[in-house]
Amino acid sequence: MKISDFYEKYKQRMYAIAFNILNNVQDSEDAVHEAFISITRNFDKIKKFSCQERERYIVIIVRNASINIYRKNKKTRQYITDTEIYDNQPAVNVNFFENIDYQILLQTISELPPNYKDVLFMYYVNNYTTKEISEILNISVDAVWKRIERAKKLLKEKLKEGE
Amino acid sequence: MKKNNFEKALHDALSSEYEMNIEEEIPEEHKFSLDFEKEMNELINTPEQSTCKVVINRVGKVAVCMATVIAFVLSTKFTNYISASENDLSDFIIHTYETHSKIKANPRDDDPTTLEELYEITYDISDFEEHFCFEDEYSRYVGYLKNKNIEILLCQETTDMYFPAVNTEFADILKEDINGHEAICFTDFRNNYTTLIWYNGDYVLEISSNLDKNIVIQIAESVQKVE
Repeated sequence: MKISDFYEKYKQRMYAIAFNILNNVQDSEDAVHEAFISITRNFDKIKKFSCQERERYIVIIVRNASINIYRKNKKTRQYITDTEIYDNQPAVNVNFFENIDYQILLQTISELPPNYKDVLFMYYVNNYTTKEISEILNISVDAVWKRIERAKKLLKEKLKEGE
Repeated sequence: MKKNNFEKALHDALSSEYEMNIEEEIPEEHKFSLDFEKEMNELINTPEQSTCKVVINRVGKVAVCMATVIAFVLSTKFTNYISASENDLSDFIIHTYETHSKIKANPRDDDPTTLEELYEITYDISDFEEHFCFEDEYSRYVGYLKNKNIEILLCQETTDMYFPAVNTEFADILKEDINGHEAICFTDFRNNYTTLIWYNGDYVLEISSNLDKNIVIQIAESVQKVE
């Protein structure tokens, strides 16, 4: 598949995803453009994905580009190393979630912020390496690790609140 | 491989969010602006670029020019400062932008492409507790914490995968020597954080901490391969 075919096939869907977040035509086009910069950089790899993997990848890329633009517009400083402060609680082992009621776990996961969902999905479901995730999201590997851990901690806190 | 409850739940809870339903008709197709179409045509029809060139986007080009000019001026007066030039560091290329720098290691042909050996801090940090440890086949991050606010981070990564962005907005960028290896040293004065990055002949090693810089250097020098 050529990149131009790829563009024609997905551009409307990508725009729709961006517009859903940004509600602004210019910003949404900017988000699609930013997403495509990342896609062209990794196109050799993306070409080999299955259809489902490719679509998941695109959704995450566009969402990430859109959220970045949204934050910029809100004049929120986004530090390269991610300003989320990791607290002094021990790292969350995934075994913690083994004994949680499954439906409650599903519901709580769906309530996580988008950037947490993305990184958990990429790492645990798509089995991307942290390096691959850092390139997709354009953050440092250190920030990827921190975001994964923060996502699990938030999930754990929400589950405890629901008890 | 059998998935645990957590992985299965992530899959079941989130998969539908990442489906584009490409076959469904879009209610209203967007008519893209002429500027957008022009930019996309340029992007799509540009021949495949090397990773190095792609990193330097439009904003990056301006920032790199500025960094090069500043580095040239600084190099005539402050020889201890690292410039944005490739010639100054044999093991790394640094692209310096307004608020951050992107650092790429120069992999050698015989560098390992996975973590075949692990490195640990041998400096006495017994009063720290291990806060987290993440590893995969290419990288390993271990975080240590003391008194809830003193941190040490050890990173070991293969050279072909090492390409982080580092917040250098309020940081000095210097060179240090770590056991005979040339190291990049970032000292963020606003947060009192020091980061040392060096190539030891096999892997890129990184130590970051808000301890005193001299102690951070000692910790870096203590990093050894473990049996």
